Amino acid sequence: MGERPVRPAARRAAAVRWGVHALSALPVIWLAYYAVIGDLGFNPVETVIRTTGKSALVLLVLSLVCTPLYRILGARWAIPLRRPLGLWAFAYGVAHLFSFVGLDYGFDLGFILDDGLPKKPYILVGLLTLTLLTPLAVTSTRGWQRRLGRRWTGLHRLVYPAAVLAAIHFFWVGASTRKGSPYEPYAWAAAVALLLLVRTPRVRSALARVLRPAPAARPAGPATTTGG
Amino acid sequence: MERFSWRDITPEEVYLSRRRLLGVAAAAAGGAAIAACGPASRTDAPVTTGPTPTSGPPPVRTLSGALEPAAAEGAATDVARPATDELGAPLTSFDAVTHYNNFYEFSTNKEAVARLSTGFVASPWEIAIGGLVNKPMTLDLDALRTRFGLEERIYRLRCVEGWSIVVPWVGFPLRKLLAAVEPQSSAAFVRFESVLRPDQMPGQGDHGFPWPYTEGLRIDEAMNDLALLVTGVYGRDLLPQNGAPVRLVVPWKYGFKSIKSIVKIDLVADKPTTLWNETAPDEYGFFANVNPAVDHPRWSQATERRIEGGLSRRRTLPFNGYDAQVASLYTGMDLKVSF
Repeated sequence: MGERPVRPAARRAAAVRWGVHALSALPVIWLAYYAVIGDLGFNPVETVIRTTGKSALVLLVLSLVCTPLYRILGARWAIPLRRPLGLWAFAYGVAHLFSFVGLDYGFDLGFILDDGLPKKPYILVGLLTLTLLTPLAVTSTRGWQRRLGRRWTGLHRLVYPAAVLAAIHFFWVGASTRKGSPYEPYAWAAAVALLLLVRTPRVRSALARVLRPAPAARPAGPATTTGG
Repeated sequence: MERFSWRDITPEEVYLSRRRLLGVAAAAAGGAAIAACGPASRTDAPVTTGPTPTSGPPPVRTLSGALEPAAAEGAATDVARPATDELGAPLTSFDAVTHYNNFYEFSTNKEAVARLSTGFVASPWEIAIGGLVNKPMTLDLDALRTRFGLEERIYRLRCVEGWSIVVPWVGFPLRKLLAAVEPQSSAAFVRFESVLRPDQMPGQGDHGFPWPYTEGLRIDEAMNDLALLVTGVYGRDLLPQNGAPVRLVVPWKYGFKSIKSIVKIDLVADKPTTLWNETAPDEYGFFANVNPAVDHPRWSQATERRIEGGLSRRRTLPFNGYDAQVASLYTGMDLKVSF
């Protein structure tokens, strides 16, 4: 998490942060509402799995938008949003895993193993994604950031492979678990690729030059923000 | 015989509200139904409501009757239909059967197909049967519904995507039609073709697929008594989302083999090209028999999710539970290779 924007609009920053929380909570509120009124569709387990998984992917991609917003456009307010977005993405990822293991397979590990799931590449990729995100969620606090110092930045670069794996996971999931356009996985893969591309120094500085004609005294960037 | 198009069917909201009432009535009658679900009613054969030699309501119903407005109300319950398949699994509701549809010609979104298919015109209709036959013929809907007699059969339908439903279809065995056209000795396969109507089927605008939809069976598979040409479901004419007005149902194979809205059936000498096999040969074989031992490259086929069948998955049965009827068709074949 970046430096708290102390100067002009601390209140506005808090509002934005709460807005992120509210938007991130929408999928789970939606699921809870439709679960209560008993209208999760004809395949409710799939609805839960799909909604939690998709929410995790979307929020993970949004968390990757923050740093380029700051480094290219100078949007300082975006930096503090990385932590809530990342944590929400992780929470949905955990819910996704539990709805798969719990709802779909009734926590019957033997059943899951019999189903040959460990051999399924998309399951392994999904598990690996969540595995990579776990240390990031644990060390997302200010205390861990201080304790790890420079290593924190390196550790949190794990979000890049995690995002790539999440996009692959979405790509490989059967059509049965997707809804909407069959081309959607390409769009998410492209989004992840683009967000990684704009992080390369050359692209980043080129974009910053074009998009910010008055670069004047752009801050060198707080050391703690380079990880996102 | 008077014909009715899908437009004559009771509006959805009306029948849904009626079904709620019927549901209450059914719950009240539940006590009586329990007796019928006992082991004594179970047999090894798929459930067939008719024609049956025993007592009961008229087993063969012409569907135009079921669609008359007065009869439509009770259409879903006017027959002493078993509440389960021969394995004891309850029928999937009419609502789910008609609103959870894998029909790419309309949409890849299963719950959008019913809405997107309301403009599909399923009458008049003709189906041409030809190729290597002595008596090629073209049948209209009346001929399809009267010439071969209709019966109801409760089949499990297992989608290759890993979900399944239990459906009371109305139709007749495909073998009766094949016998009528007299296949020549050189005919080894049956090729089926769906209608091509991009103006009424928005999904056919997706150029990633070689429309029209095509499917095929080996002739001995097509002659198996389980292979059904279907014109109705739940005692009424097929709705567009279920493949109106005539579709195939091959219950021991994955659902994509059960081609919908058929306009053409040809007897051919060589294995025909089929849409999914052509699109992704590694993922969708020509035979596509339900087989828990052969996984789809991207997901397991060992289990399935039964729609309305509780939360957790159930194990998938070899040949979808119809091995006694069809396993002999594949003696000597390696089903892991010919999947």
